[in-house]
Amino acid sequence: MKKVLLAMFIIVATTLVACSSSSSNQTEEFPTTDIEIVAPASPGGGWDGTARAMQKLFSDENIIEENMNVVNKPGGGGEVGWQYLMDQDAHHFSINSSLLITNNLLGQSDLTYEDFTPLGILTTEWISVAVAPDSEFDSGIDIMDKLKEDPTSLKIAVAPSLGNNDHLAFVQAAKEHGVDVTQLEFMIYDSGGDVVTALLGDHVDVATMSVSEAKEQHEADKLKIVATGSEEPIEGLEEVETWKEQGIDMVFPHWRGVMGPPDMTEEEIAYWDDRISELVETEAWQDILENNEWQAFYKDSEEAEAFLEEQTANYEELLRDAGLTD
Amino acid sequence: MLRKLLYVSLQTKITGLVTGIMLSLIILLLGVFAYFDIQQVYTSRENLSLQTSKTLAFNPEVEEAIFQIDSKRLQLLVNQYSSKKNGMFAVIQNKEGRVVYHPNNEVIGKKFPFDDGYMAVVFGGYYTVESDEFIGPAMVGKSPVYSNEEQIIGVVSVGYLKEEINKEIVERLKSIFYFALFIFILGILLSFLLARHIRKETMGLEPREIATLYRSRSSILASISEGVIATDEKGRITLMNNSAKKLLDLSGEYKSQRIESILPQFDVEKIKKGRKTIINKEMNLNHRDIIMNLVPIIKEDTFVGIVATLRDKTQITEMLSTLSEVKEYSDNLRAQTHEFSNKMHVISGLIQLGRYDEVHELVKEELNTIERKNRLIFEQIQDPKVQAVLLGKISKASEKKVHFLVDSNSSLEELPQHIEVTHIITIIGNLIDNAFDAVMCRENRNVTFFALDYGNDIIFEITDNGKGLKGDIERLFERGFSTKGNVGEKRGFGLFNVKESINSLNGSIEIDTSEYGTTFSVIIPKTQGGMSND
Repeated sequence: MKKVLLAMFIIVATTLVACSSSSSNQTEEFPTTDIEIVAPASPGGGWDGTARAMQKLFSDENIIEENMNVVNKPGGGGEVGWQYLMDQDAHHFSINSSLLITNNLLGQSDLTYEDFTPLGILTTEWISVAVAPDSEFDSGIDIMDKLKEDPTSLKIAVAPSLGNNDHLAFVQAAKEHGVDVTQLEFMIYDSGGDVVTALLGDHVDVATMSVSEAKEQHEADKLKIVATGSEEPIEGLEEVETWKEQGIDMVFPHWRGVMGPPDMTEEEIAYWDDRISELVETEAWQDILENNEWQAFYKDSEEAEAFLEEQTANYEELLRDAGLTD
Repeated sequence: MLRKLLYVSLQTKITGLVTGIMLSLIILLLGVFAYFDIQQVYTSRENLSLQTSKTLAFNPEVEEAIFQIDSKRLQLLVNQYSSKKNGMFAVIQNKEGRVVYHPNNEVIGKKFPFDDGYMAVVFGGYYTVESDEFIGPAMVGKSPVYSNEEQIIGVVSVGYLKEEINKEIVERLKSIFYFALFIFILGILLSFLLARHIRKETMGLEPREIATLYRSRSSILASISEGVIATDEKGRITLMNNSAKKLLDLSGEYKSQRIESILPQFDVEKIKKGRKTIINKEMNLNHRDIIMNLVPIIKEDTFVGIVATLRDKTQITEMLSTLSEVKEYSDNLRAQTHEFSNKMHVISGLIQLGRYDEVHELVKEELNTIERKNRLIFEQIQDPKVQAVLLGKISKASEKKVHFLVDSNSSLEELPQHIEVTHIITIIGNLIDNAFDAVMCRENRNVTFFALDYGNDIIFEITDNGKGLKGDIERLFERGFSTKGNVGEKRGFGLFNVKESINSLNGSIEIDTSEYGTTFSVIIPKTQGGMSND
């Protein structure tokens, strides 16, 4: 009896080994076709920029030999692109950000990070608050003081929708300062460019946007950055105080990552871990980070999954907590 | 404690067990069902409340009415898209938190801080939340209302009162609960019927009582000397005790063998059809005489089996002959007394007549006779058992006026151990008695006894001068055969018993008969199991 069991065990074990080796043989050939990077936004934004930077460097640095294409699937705060990714195979991946989490929490999407295969987190950038060059405000804390007095006194521009990191960072800072954030008047614009235009045209008093979007305008004196949500003062913007320096204890990173469609095999995940970790080590990638005011924030697939889980809990608290109990 | 709990009647046990199982099953299923039902109802209410709040929030008329703080118009719109059924309610606040529509008019105009509505008013979220802000604990769907300029100008809250949701769930569960109750009662009823059926099958006995009965039956069957065999309705043996095995010379497994295979004389079908009872049937099985009783077991007019009891015949025979010998002894004693008193009467008469010489003569003659007879017996017959039998027969002979002679050529040492007194009594006693009976028809009645033990065998010869034996001599030794015609007396066992005893001693018997008399010669080997002179 025992011998029979042993024999059966050996047969099953051999079959399993054979199966797994044959499947690993298959993945050694991965990728088998062209690779497609999904940028869930129109050309020109942070997602599109990240996607194109990856496309360029993967081939320039000879990390990946296969052809790579970037497709733009704008709409719904990433929703359109991510829905598209859901139905693709492992030769597709997409850029993501905190919108993946907040869209679901705000009832604008059914998708969560658990529906996809996290492949890594690449960068963060910082959020800034800007005003028109001729504005009465010279610092972020002045704005907050004014809003604390009367939350409806200023119009605040945000793009492309409520609930994104730009919006959240400002609300968070205001809440820390004791502003009744429910009364704040946000004006919603389609893109960062529209926000700058609105600011210059005096349609709004304040704008919240990423440093990468504001820095060039700031240097050209088209607008004035009065606060950043970073840990330390930003290189090249040393004259701008962080929220921390202005007395509001808040740091707000805006991260971007990549994820694949659901049900990727371990071999496929390992492939991307290999290639992406190689990518972020290159000189060219460092240059791109610098040019875009992005910070290196690499996490591999496993770390990314844990990070997304942690972020989901954080955002849920951030979004739901009205702070009325304080 | 558990023991005590288990020590209850079968009825209680079965009913209790079934009730327990059913109760736990029903509770489990009901629980699972209720859980999923509650989940489902809550989910559908959540979806409905969120959907309705969205519908209202996206309606441009609602946006307009919020701007104008037109509660009447809002009421119309709310009524259009929602119903008051199932505890549904809608509350609309503007950006300031002021209530612009509420089912209760008194609340309209009051300010509520955005707590549960925070995510809607600040971040433009669409979501459901458990909230008791407005009317009571409720599942509330929240949706922000945007202006044309993409600014949030208010929040629509549509909710279902939990109280009402729970009421609805209770209603839904009630019917299922009644059904479960029905099943439960049905189950108890069925288990009760089952228990009653089992009780009927076991004739009202509890299992432990049955066990006790079974144990005592086994020991009873083992302890009795009668053989007992029981079968089922097809004649397959279900039970056989050790005595039966011994009587039938069986060993090993007997169960589910057919009774015909061990008792071939026995036709189950016949007994089944005839339902007759066989009582005290004698039969010879494996060289044993066995008395058998056969009783069919009938239950409610159906044949369900047979019980057979077997008794060893030889035991009974032995008992019977011992009894008859005891009777004979008392007869012999009586005969002796009778003869003795006769002689005393003669002596007394002679003395009265004064004929003393004749008295003297008589006494002398009598003494001589006794002495001669006794001497013959005691000198030539050394065995005390045979002596005793002969002495008794001499008295009987003198009473019956039979001239009983022990042949003067007789010679007999003490008999070997294995020849028991019962054998002697049976063999010699019966043959001498038969001889006495045979000579009763003669004037001159002579019976002679001769014994010799030279060589390996012991020989007894009893000779009478009767008229000889008529008919089939072979049948003489059959049971119940008798040449004596006295009806009503238990006759016919004498020679049968003689033959049995001789057989048991490996001896033989020969008969020589003519119209002038008969001689029975018995030859018994001296050694047990030794050779016979056949």
